[in-house]
Amino acid sequence: MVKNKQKIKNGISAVYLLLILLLIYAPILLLVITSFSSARIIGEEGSFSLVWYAELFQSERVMGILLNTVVLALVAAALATVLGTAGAIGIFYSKKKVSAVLQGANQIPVVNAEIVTALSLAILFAAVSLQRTYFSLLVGHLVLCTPFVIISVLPKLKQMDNHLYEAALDLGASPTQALFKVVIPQIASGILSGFMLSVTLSLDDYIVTSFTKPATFDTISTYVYNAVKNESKSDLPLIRALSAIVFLVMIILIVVAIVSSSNQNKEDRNKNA
Amino acid sequence: MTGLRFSRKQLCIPYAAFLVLFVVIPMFLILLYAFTGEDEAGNLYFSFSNFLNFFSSTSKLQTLGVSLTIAFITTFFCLVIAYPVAYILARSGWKRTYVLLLLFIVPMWLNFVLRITALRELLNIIGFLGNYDYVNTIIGMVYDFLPFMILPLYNSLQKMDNSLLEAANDLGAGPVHTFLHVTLPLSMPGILSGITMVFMPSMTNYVVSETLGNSNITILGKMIEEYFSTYDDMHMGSLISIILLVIIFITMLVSGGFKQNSDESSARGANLW
Amino acid sequence: MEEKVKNKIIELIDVTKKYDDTVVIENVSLYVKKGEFITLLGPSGCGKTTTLRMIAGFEMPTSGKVLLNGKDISDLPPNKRPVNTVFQRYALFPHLNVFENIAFGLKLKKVTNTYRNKDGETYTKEEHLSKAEIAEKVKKALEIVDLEGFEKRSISTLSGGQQQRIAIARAIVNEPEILLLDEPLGALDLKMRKEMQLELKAMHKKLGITFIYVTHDQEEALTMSDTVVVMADGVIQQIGTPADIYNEPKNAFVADFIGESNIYNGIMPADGKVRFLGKMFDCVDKGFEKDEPVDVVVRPEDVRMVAPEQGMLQATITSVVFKGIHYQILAEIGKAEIEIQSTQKKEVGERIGIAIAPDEIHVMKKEFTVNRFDGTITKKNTVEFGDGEFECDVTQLYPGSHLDEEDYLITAKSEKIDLTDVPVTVEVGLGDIRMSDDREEGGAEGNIISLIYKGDHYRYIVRTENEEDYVLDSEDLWNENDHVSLIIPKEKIKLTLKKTEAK
Repeated sequence: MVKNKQKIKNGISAVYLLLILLLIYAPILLLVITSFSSARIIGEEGSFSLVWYAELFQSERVMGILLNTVVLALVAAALATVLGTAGAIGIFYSKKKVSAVLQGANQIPVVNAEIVTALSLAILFAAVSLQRTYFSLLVGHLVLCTPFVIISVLPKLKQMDNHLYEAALDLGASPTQALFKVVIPQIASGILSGFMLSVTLSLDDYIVTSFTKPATFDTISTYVYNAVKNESKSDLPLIRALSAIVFLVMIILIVVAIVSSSNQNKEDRNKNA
Repeated sequence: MTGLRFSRKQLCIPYAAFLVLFVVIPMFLILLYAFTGEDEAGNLYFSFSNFLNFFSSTSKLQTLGVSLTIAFITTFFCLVIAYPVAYILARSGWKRTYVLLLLFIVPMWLNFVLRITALRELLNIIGFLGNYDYVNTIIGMVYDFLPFMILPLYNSLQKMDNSLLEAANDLGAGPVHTFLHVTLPLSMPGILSGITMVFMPSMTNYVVSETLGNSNITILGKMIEEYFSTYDDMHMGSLISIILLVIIFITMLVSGGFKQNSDESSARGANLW
Repeated sequence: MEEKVKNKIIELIDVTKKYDDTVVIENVSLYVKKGEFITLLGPSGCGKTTTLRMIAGFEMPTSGKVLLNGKDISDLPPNKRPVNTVFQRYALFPHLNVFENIAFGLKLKKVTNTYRNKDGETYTKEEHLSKAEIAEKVKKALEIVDLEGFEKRSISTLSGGQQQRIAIARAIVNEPEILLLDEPLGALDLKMRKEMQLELKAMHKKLGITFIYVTHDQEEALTMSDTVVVMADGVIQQIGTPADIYNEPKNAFVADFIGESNIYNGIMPADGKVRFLGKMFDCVDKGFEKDEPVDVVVRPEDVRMVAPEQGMLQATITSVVFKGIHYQILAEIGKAEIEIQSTQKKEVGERIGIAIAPDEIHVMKKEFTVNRFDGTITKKNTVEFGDGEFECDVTQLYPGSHLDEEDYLITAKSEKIDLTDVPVTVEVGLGDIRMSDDREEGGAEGNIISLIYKGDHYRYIVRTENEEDYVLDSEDLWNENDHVSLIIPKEKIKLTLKKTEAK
């Protein structure tokens, strides 16, 4: 009796999760499927075809935008990681008041609406009559990403045994050596997740980018948004193909990540056993 | 104190300078611009006209109302849909639920403009696009922000001690009573954190409303963007930003976001990685 | 006398350490002889770890000097000191394996090698140790700690005891002049701890270097050390060999902290005579003033139980607990209590006589016989001292004086004196202060920072917010850290004018 009840409960739970997942993935799957259709507009008749993929890879413009987006994300994430890691270490070892003020300031872009951050930067660059350039765009992305590096790294510093740094000094390391040989390795996982998060945030961003980018520069977000808004018939099919590819790459990366992390777990368990 | 602690503290100087230059000063500029106007020579003068203009304009007040309504409805649906998902994932006792959780988060790694575009295509096929602008916008917002609600809920539900539920059962509480008086209050931090993460973007993310609402819906984010790019007026944009900041402040106050640890409220998917 | 001691490897001269306004170490002076095993012993928060950290270089003294081999190293950073530390929770680097942990210091070290060039001239070069040299040293260090072949193991796979050994190996492999050990056995279980105590002692002998050891465990300190430094409240209480410290504690704190003690108030009517628990005893101590109040300490194992009529004192047994080798017996002598350790089993309620041999009675100077404060008289003819304000009788300052209607003091010679802001010395007896948990009731308030049981009453120290200490005796039991207000009756406050003021 109780068992049956549990079974029913599990069944309902599973159906619910499946339903939500289906809703979440339906649009993406639709895009992937239709990307293989020769039809220009979804719903129109078409046959199986890789024509949009061919066109996508031949389009220098779209490929350039793709490259722009990735390079910007990597550069912004790398800079944010360096700035944020140093900042987090500095904040951690600062006096309480200094650290509280800096952490408070760090939360501003996190809790703020993105549009407010974007506008505030646009005003700043207008006020010092700076043209919007790659620099302003990069600053925009740094404001977006760096706080999350801090948020990722600070807890790792807090978890770290404070005596490790002292132990390194005690064994003859200079403060700099102690930092690189002991502290940084200890917080490496936080630094890595800060970096990954930064890449994701940068790749994903539309609003800050559109407020800080130079007029001629486009990322995937701004390109797609404008294409969709203008209902550009030439671009939309390419975007389907692009989405499908991006989605595929994501899936592969995530599967690799899961497999490697579960292998890691197994190894750890074996070691401990 | 020579050498020993000094060098580590110094590491926060670049980031502190960065925060001052690109976060704090821009926020002051917003405040400055909100309560100033510009004469023909481009000089700023103090003025309440933006303020008066906003609160005497029916269309602007309407936009504020629409934004708040959309945000409330979006937040409500996110919570109603996400809670069971998070509950099942965290408390079902199924194996490998983290893979399932990942399935819910994976779409977050796909560029959000691409995701919204995909949804647009789906809405187009089922004939919603162009017919139900508000419904589409809310569907899009819920679709986009659902993971931000699932994650904090999952975290708070998972942390919950099983023995508390057993204790409640032991004391004779039925499942409904246990849920209302034990589970729900204990997951409150997750609920509040989810609300703060969903509410604000729903008022401002105009990419969703523009793409899915067929450009017929104006939310506050859109209004800022319009004043900025169409009228080149940053003063009204700043005033709207101030209104947004006040709303953020109120949500934080209501949801206790100030009391929470910064690690706890690690907003906008900081625990993505 | 201290000047004559040779081979001082470490010397602390008048070292004080403050964090903001809190004093953690106050005027500590101490030296460590080369090759010695010295232990800093005291309850938590007594400043022992801070002292060690100043020797290691993690903390700089606020004032005073730290000398190493006679040279001032107060400002030398830790990486430049020939000192290595074994940390309380080992502080092994989790991202490195055993070999890399031990080799950490060696890889950073530079040695001066001498070479001869083609022309036959010699020259020197600063060089890192070679890989083979490092491997050899690591191997030897692992041998010393009995973990041969552990090089490749990761830290997380080691047990607590093994981690402890690796931490020791990591420190001694650098051949420091001094090894600092900060409660190194604190995280181990009892059996492991006993084993490691012996091994550390053996290692000290073998290596021949100086060990400075910090612990709160008095037994550990007594079994391992050549010299024990007992600390409390940032101040050194006593320095001596374990036997000295145990047998001749310098004050009631040391007696109470080291081993079990019965502590009583007594007075010394003459050399070799001490009166406590209402009886006169013979003792071996001398050199006190006549009728000087003293603390009397008797170790429980030194109390002999005899037939009631044969004892100096008669007692009734109130509790008997079997402790393995002996019984721990509590007995009442009137209102006072005495603890006895004996192999004889007794029954609760049994009447016994108590005998104590003269050389088992330890008489020590009372640290506090009276509370003395600097104070000032206020407008209202109250007195402010020790972080509080109390009502007092100001007429005692001038014999034969009285107060007029306006509360001015009129002396015997009818002179009118305004006492406002006059500085005075205030004395209050230990038994004249009462504690209350009603904050409003007393003239000052503070937290109980120490209590010592003295047979028939407790000796409390109450510290106020601004670090003024009141010492008082009470029969009531309060807890450490209780917040109390202090009540002193008007007539018990003894005032004297400061000499400079009294013309």
